Order: sequence, then structure tokens, then C-alpha cells
Amino acid sequence: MSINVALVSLLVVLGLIVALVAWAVGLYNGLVVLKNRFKNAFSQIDVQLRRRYDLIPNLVETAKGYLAHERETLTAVIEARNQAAGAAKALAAAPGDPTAVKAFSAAESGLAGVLSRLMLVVERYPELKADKQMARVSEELTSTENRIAFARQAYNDAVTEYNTKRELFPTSIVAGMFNFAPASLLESTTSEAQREAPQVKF
Amino acid sequence: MDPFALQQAARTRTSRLLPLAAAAVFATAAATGLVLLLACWGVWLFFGETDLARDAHAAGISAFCGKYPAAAVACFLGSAVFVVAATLSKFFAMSSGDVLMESIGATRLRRGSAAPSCEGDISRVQLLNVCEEMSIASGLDMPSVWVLENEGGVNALAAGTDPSSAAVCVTRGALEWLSRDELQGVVAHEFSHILNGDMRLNFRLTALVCGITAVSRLGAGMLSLLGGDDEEKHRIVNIPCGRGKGRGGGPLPLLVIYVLTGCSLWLVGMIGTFFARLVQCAVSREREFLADAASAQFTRNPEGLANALRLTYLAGAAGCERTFRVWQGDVSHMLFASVDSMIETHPPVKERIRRLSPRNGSAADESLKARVNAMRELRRARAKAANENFAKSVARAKGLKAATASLADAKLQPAALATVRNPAKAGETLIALLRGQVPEGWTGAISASERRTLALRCVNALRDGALASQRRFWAAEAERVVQEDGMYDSFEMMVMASVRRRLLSDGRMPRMVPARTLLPVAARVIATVASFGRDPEGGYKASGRKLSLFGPGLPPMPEPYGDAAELLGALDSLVCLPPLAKRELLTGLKEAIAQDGEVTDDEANYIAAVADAIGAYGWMQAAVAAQPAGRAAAV
Repeated sequence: MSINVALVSLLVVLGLIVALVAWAVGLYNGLVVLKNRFKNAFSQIDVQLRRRYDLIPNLVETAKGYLAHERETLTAVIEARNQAAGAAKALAAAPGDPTAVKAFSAAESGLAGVLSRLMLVVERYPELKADKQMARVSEELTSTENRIAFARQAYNDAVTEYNTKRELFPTSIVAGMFNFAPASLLESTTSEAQREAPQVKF
Repeated sequence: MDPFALQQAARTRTSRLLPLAAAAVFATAAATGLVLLLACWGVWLFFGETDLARDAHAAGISAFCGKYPAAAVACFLGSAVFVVAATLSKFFAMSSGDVLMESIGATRLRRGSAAPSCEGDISRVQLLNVCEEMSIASGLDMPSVWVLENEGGVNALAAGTDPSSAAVCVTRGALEWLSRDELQGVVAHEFSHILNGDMRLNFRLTALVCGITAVSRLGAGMLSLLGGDDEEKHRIVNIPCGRGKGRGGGPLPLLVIYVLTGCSLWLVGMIGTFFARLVQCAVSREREFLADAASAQFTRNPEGLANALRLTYLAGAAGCERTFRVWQGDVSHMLFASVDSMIETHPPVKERIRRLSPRNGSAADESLKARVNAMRELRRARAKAANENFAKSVARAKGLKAATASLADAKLQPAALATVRNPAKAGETLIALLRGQVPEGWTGAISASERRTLALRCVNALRDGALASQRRFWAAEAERVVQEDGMYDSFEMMVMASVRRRLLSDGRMPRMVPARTLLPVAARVIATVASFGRDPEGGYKASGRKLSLFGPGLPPMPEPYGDAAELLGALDSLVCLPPLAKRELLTGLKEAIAQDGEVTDDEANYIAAVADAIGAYGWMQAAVAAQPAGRAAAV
């Protein structure tokens, strides 16, 4: 009789422990899934940024024939593009790292500012605006700007979900035990002037 | 508005509706069980040892249940199994978006492979870009993208029960009239349908409705058995009770029970279907709200979608072109904006706009109004042009009818008809025709169309009446006669095409393939037939204007088939065309041979050969016979 009671209580305790471990494993796995999701979302941004970096020489090439007097604007665009490409590479090596994110954000908003200046210049050249190739390139640019914005949005949504989960009890215990670091959001702009997106209106 | 909260609310409301759908199924199954139980009780009373009028207690339904509990359980269990099985038979049905899009005649857009007509058309590039943007924003794989070139109204749809086989389609009107932001909102709405699995949900709900409808179909089936002639009626009613000499004094009570059961089952199924459809439409409306909210989440620009909705609303109010009149029943639940229907699958547009953007009136409205006016103008202009074209098309159709009249079956002499009913005689007649002789039993000369018709009748008689060995014998005989002179003329070609299909094929149904894959073969066949006209190139081009299912258009005129075996092989492969493509091909061929204003015997023989080889001869006859003056152009 007493053996039975001891056996039953032992089994119950064992069962509870197993259930607890399984639960913790579930929480851990959930965190890993979310972490991978935001990492993947970041690689999406990377893909789209590369698309933009590839597109910009194209844009400059198309505009060059019409914009003989705006050489320094075009040079600035190319320079900003190279800078941003370098920062993106550094960040890709360490996604979620706050300093890399900051440098990258600054370079990116610099590029956006220069691009928007270029587009304002383009506005002043009607024959350039009417160019078919230019219409294509600027559609691609619009699309790329959108893609970057949507990729950032998806990244930020994923990071927010991860961070929220990480901080909520009881996941926070598992996160603390296994060292799940908080991830940073991408802030697209630092000042009001840079917030202006490149104007592409045809 | 907060898109996340709105989506959560829509999801909650959907999850409250789903138990109602399950309840409808459960209630229908229970009601069906009850009907069956009552029917069993009625039969028991009819045969039973008790009398309800004498002893209500011993003959009541509870007494029956007490006495035969197994029967009562079987009634309910049986009906539950029936309804569940009918539901499950469709529950896991999958549908590929691409297949649906092809079936409604949409054109697939691919990057870098735009049709020549779209070259320089930035809106298609834009559509592809917008779709890629949305696939990034929603985290979905890029679906296939389609355009409905024939739809001038603004609409869009998504299809595919599985995100990996999803497809997104917009109308040409949407590309023409929507700005980039609006198009983005609409595409995001469709992406949300894919992401939330709305097509699958709708399929499952449709399966539930089907399960319930099966009950009313059962009832209707029971009743329709009574509708036959007297013999059948007796068969049903007399099986249980003999010829009316039972205790009940005749089959009438059983007949009454039978009819009542059938009617009740039909009614139960109908009521259940009605409520299940109500639930389905309510779910569908919630999913629209959900998709609108998710669209706002993806684009973070609810104004785009709101303006697109405003445009469809204004355009609808102004009587502009509406979409999907032909098959709206099949796809209405998948569309972006609703079409008129009995039970609304979409919430009112005004409510959707209000939830997306609670403002009233703005600068954008001016642009909307201007666009709606332009749409109306375009519609007027098109109607005017259509009126002008109508007179022309009537005249053209009359010409075509006169030219193709010789394609119709000739009237045969009764004596010859009687002869070919006998398979052996039919074989002999066929050989005589192939040798160029006037067949036995035919008086006077025989014209080309009479020869053609008689030969086909002979082949039919052989197929229907002869043994397999006889069929093979006459087929071999015909081939021998045809090859005696070492060449095929058009009549021999037609006979051989018919013989191959009707006498020598193994009778298996061909496996259908998309029309596009057979375009090169079809083009060479058309070129071959057209080469018998006075203007081969013109005829070939004229037929190209009738082909749309075969893809982007006919290639430059290929070399006609020079070898009979090659042509017969090509005709064999065309059997795999879908039925609509076969009709198109024949219409195109007819156009090709009528292009020079007259149809020669060679041309008529060749078109008959093609029609017979692809199994559409009957259709061609019907089309030639029933060519109404105004619509022939559309045949």
C-alpha cells in the first residue's frame, strides 16, 4: 500500500518534470523560430538594398546624357551608394548588432537624401522625364524603394514580435537562461530633412 | 485605424461563425435521422402488430424505439455517416491557382517575357513589381501573376488553396485605371487572402454545404424515381407489399410514407443548405474585412485600397463596365469587389471604405471623378463602335454562311442510306467511293459533298455494327486502295483520318494538354488546309484572328505538311486539345477556307478530315447548320 503511494507520487513528480521540460523546450524553440524569422527578414532587406545598389549606376548612366551640368550631383549619388553598400556588408556580418545598425542607418539615409536631390534635379529636365528608359528605371527605383521599406517593415515587425516574446513572462526566464539578446529595430531616418523619400513623379 | 486590431477582430468574428457552420451540419444530420426514424416507424405501423388508433401507448414512436433500439440508432448513425461522408468527399479538395486562371482565360505575366503588344507598357512591369513588393511585405513566396485582358472593369482575384500554388490576377481595367498606390492596395488585399488561407477556408465551407445539399439531393432522387412511367412506380411500391393485397389494403400508405420521406429529406436539405450558405457568406464577408485590414498592414497606406474601392463604387454607380458577367457564380467569392448576386459574398463597399479611411471627401475624389467620367466616355465610345461594327459583322457573317454552307452534310438518297446500315455493304460502299466509283444503289452522279457524307456514314456503320476483326479488315482494305496510286487526294485523306479515329483507335479518352503546347502543330495544320485556297497566306492570317486559347498568336506561316502520314500523325496529336480549343481551331479553319469567298471540295474535305480526326465533326455540323446571321462571327 505505502509502496504504491510512493510509486504513484514518484510517477506524478516525474511526469510533472517531463511536462515542465517539454514546455521549456517549446518556449526555447519558439524563440529560436522568431530569431530566425527576423534574421531572414534582414537578409531580405539586404537583397533589396543590393538591388538598389545595382540600380543606381543604371540610373546615373541613363541620366548622364541629359545632365551634363549636374556632374557633382551624380558623383555624390555614386559616392553615397558605395558608402551605403559598405555599411550594409558590415551589418550583414552581424545582424542585430546595435553599432552596425546605427552606422548602416546613417549611410542609408544619406543615400536616400542624395537620391531625392537627384530626382528633384530630374524634375527640371522634361526631355529626360519623357525618356522611355528613364521611365523604366524610375519605376524600378520606386519599386525598390518600396521593397526596402516593406522589407524593413517586415524586419521591424519580426523584431518586435521577438522582443515582445523575449520579455514576456515566462519566456523571459528561458531567454535569460540561454542568452537571447534583444534585437534592435531599424530606424530609417534621423532627421526631418532626411525623412523625405526620393520623389519619383512622372 | 489600427490594422492589427482590425485583423484580430475579424479573426475573432470568423471563429465565432465557424461553430455555426458545424451546427448547421449537425442539425441537418439530426433532422435527417429523425425523418428516417419516422419513416421506419410508419413502415412498422403499416406492417406491425399494433394499431395506433386502438392503442396509442403501445404503438407510439417511443414504443417503436424501445422495441427496436438498433433501428433507431441506425437511422441517426446512418444519416450522420452519410452527411459526413458527403462533406469529406470534397473537404480535402485542392485547387491550383494556375489551373483556375487558365480556365477563365487569363494571361500569365512573366518578367522579361511580356508579349510584343505589351512592349513599352509600363503598367505590366508595375504590376509585377507591386506583386514582388507585397510578397516581401507579407513574407509569402511570389505567386504567379495573371491579367484578364478582356475585362475592362476594375477587379482582381486570388486563387489556389495552397500558398505554394497561389495565383493573383487583375483585370486589364485595373491596370488601366488604378494608380500605383491603389493597385498596391488591391494586390495586398489579394495577398492577404492567400496568407490567411481564405480559399481553403471557402473550399471547406463549400464542402460542408455540399454535405448538407446531398440530403436534399437524396430526397429529390427518391421523388424523381416516382416520376417514371407506371411500371417503375409499381416496382418501387410493390417490392415491400405485393400487389396491394396486404393488411393495409393496398400500396397507398407505403407510397404516402415514401413520398413524405422524400419531401422531408428534400426540405431538410434545403433548409440546411440555406443556413449553411448564410454562414458561408457571413464568413466570406468577414474575410474581406480581414483582407482589407491586412492590406493596410502590408502597405501601411489604407488610402490606396480605400481609393480603389471608391473608384469601383463610383464606377458601379455610374453604370460603367462591370466584370465577370459570364462566370461570376464560380469566382464571385474570390473577387476583390463584389458583383451583384442573391446572397452577398462581400460587405457593402461603403462600410469597407469607412473602416479603411474614416474621412469624408478629399482632393483625391476629384481624380476619382475624372477617372469615372473617362471610364463612362470610353464605355459610350465602345458601345458606339460596337453598333457600327454590328452592321459590318452581319454582312460578313452572311458571306461566311454562304461560303461554308457546302461544309454541311449532304442529303443522301434513301436507298443508299438503307444500304450502308449493313456493315458488310458499308465496307463495300466505302471501297467503291475510294475507287471513285458510284456506289451500288446510288442513282445518277454523286457530288463531292454527297461522297463525303456517305463515306463518313459508312465508317460510322462499320464502327457501330461490325466486329473488331471486320473493322480491322475494312480499315486495311481502305488503306490498300488509297495507297494503290501512291498518293492521297483530299477525299482519301478525310476517309483515312476518319478510319483511323473511328475504326482503329483503342477507344481510350485522350489526356488533355494545354492548347499552347500544341500551337506549332495547329499552325502547320492550318497552313496545310489554307494552302488549298487561292490565298494561303491571307487565309492563314485570317484564321489566326480567331485563335485566342493557343497563346500569344500564330507564328509566321510554316511549311504545309507534304506527307500524308505526317499530317495524320499531327491530327492524332490534336485530339488532346481541350474542347474549347478544338472549336476555336475549327472556327479558325473555317475562316481560313472562307477567306477567299469560296470553299472548294478539297478545302471542305480537309476541314472535315480535321474535324473528324479531333472528334469535333458533330460540333462543326451543328455550327454550320445553326449559324444565325448576327452571331456567326462569334462562333
